[in-house]
Amino acid sequence: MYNILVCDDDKEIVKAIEIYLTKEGYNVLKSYDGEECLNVIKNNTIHLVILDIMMPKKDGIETLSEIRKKYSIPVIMLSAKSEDEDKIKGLNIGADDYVTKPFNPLELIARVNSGIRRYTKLGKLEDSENKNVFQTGDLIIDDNLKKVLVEGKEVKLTPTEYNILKFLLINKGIVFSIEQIYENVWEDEAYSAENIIAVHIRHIREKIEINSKEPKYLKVIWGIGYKIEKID
Amino acid sequence: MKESKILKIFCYILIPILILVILFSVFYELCKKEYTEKDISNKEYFKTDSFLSNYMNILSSETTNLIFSHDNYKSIQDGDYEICYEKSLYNIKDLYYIIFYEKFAITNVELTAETNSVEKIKNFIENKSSKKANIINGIVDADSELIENKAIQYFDNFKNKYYTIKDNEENQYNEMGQDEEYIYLQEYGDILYKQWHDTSIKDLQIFTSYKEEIVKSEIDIFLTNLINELSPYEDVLLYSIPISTILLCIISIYLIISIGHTKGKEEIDINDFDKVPIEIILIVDCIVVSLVFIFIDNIRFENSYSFLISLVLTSFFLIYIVCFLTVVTIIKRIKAKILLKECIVIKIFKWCFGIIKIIWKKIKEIFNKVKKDFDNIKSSWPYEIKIILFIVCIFFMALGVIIIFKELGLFIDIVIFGFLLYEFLIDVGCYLKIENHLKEMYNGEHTKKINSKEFPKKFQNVVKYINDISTGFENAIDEGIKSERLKTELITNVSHDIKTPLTSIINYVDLLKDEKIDNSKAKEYINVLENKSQRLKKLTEDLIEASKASSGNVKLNIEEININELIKQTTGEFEDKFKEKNLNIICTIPKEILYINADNRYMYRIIENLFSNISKYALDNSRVYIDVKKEFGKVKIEIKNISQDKLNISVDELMQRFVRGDKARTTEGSGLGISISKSLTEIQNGKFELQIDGDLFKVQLEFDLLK
Repeated sequence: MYNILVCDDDKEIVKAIEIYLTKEGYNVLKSYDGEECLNVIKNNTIHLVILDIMMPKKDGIETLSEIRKKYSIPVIMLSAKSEDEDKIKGLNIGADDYVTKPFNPLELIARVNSGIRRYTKLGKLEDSENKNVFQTGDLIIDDNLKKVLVEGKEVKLTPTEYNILKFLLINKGIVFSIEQIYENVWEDEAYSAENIIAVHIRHIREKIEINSKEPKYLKVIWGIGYKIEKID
Repeated sequence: MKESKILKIFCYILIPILILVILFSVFYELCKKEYTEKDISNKEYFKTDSFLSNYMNILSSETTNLIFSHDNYKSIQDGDYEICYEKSLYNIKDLYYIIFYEKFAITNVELTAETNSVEKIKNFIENKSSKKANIINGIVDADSELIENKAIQYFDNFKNKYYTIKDNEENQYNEMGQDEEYIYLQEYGDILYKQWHDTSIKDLQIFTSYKEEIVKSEIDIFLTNLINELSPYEDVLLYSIPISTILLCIISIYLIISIGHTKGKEEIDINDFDKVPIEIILIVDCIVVSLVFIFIDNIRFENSYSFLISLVLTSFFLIYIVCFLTVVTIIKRIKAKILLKECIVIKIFKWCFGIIKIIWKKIKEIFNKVKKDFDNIKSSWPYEIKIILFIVCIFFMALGVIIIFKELGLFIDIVIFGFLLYEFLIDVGCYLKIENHLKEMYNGEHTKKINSKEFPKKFQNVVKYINDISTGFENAIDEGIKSERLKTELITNVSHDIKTPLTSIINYVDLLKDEKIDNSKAKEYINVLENKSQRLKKLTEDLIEASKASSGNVKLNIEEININELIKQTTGEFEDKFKEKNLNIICTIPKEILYINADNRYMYRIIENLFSNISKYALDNSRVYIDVKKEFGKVKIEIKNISQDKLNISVDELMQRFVRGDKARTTEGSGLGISISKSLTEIQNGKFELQIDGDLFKVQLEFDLLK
């Protein structure tokens, strides 16, 4: 049983999150402002915090920096502020994830799951020594079994999608253009690649990402190419 | 009475009679003095004015002939002199003369068989002379002086008087006796001399003589007799003048009033004659009158005075008829107001005036046109040409000064030019400074000020105005930025405030969906709620983005972007959505890879918005064209599709925020897509163009090509 602290001044939102997370089997603790949040963390063993930014008494940013002074528990920021600056600010101070309001409950749950897994299983990679296993964050390809695991769950990909993903994952962190991907995966000269690759990649994204519009692993750099984010 | 024809005819007949009476009476009154007071029969004719007049005329015409055309005369040689003979045609009988001029002499002695030598002339003269003349004995020989002397003596014999003119300077009048006739002659002589004066006559000698018996002319006799006969009726004639004149006036006035009026007619009676141009009538009048006078003048009527009188009377009536007809028609014309109308001169004048008017109009038009053209040319003349023209003018003025004042002028010119050049250079310097400053302002440095201390006094106003404008700009821009920022902030804040309750709505709708509800209607309602809450979410997100993009409140992460790649990626992203509508994507991308400088996320947002519009609004089963082109250092992305709804909206409207192709706003979407795309394109120094042609919806993006 993991304890998750939800901190938001909007009681209804807290209640809704509680319902979702309880369904997932988490124990949910509630707080309605920054100070209360810090008190709860002090008095309980908390595995993950969902923190709103705009709150009375002590806002989310301040609370987060207080938390980071003592704890390394994962914190997911939950805010109506959707601007890049806000996200960057939150992540820089020490948030592990940033979810904007209004959020998709499934996405939030997925991110909570991801956060918990990373926090609890940090460094315990399975078959990390295996040569034919490639990994970034919670995305794992086991080439021996031709399996793709995202956060422990197997994802079904077509052979072409699998090859593309594998190529990108092996070369994680490097950006490849459509032509390069085509040439490397098909091992053929790209003469009319057109948008086949783009379509495949979208399909892959839809399968492996929690929110395909804001991908975590397979990132699109528009007008340049695609890459798999390098996550340790 | 006006219409009475008989009365008029009576008047017409009366008029010439009255005129005749008046003329006759006046003539009588004028002549009676000369012909009655002195007894004409007793008076010596050569003492009268008419004699002198005739006499001098003869002399003058003969001397003129001698000087200018002696060839006409029959002549005989005599030593130094050539003597010419002339038969006198003149009225004064028994008048003799010999005129000497240079080597010529002329006399009116008739040349006959007997008189073919000087000797014979002498004889002839002697024979012809009157009984009173003492004939000179002697010979006219080669000695011209002798001839002269002989002539003097010869003429002296005729009468007691003679007269010579020698030349101007000597003023030599050979007087052979002092008498009153001499005075007459002297007076006429002066006149004679004056007539010749132009011909610079010298050595001109006139010897002349006349008989004592020279009598009055026949016409004088006739007149004298006539007047003598009339003298008993003198009173009647005298009184007839005023009476006739008054009568004439009354008749004339009556005629003037009544002419043209005929019985039973209101208007003036105009016949064909009245329509003949007045000039022709006048010319014919003149010809007739002249012919009459010429005729009278050339008839010799020496003896028959009754014939003369009848002739004169006939002529008078002829002239009267002509004048009468002319006057009548003129009066008629004046009354009918057609005098000028039928007048050729007026017609010509009118015609000329018309032509002049037309020509003037044309000239004016041409002038105006030329002026306009000239103005156009002038205003379109470049500054340099104006300067050159100005300099040329100045040059000529300076030249003028030099020509007028010589060396001093040159000095004045140099001084003036030096001064002008100095002023000009200072002005040019200031002008360039101001231009530079304005250029800087134009290029974006609106707030930069000019240092007014660097400029002379006459530029202070300009500097002040520019600085004021700059300040104005500064304030306006500050205001603009401030208000735009406030607006963005407001929108963002409001959006945030909306988002929080929206989160609850979305979440609880979602939770509600998971609840076991048997009521099918409730499930349907929950679906509506879910859809609309999602829509609201999208709207708020777009709103924030649009306000940020349009205010430029966006951080750009510029990098090199491969347009070919971008289009491929984005079309790949939208393939499924396009397929849903069965849209046929025709994508033309050049083989050459085109790079631009842009922020890749915003580039995606631009294309995404456009594609998303296509997937929402394009006609099912239609074709969508995506063309990437390289043109003049630019990359052009052209997206064309056919709208499924009628685009009853203008391009400008469509570009505005919150406007959608369907005015009913029934479809999904915030109406911010195009506005966001446009703002984001412009932020990245691109050009966003929208065209609507019927149902064709066309978007053109233009970015600078990276080389």
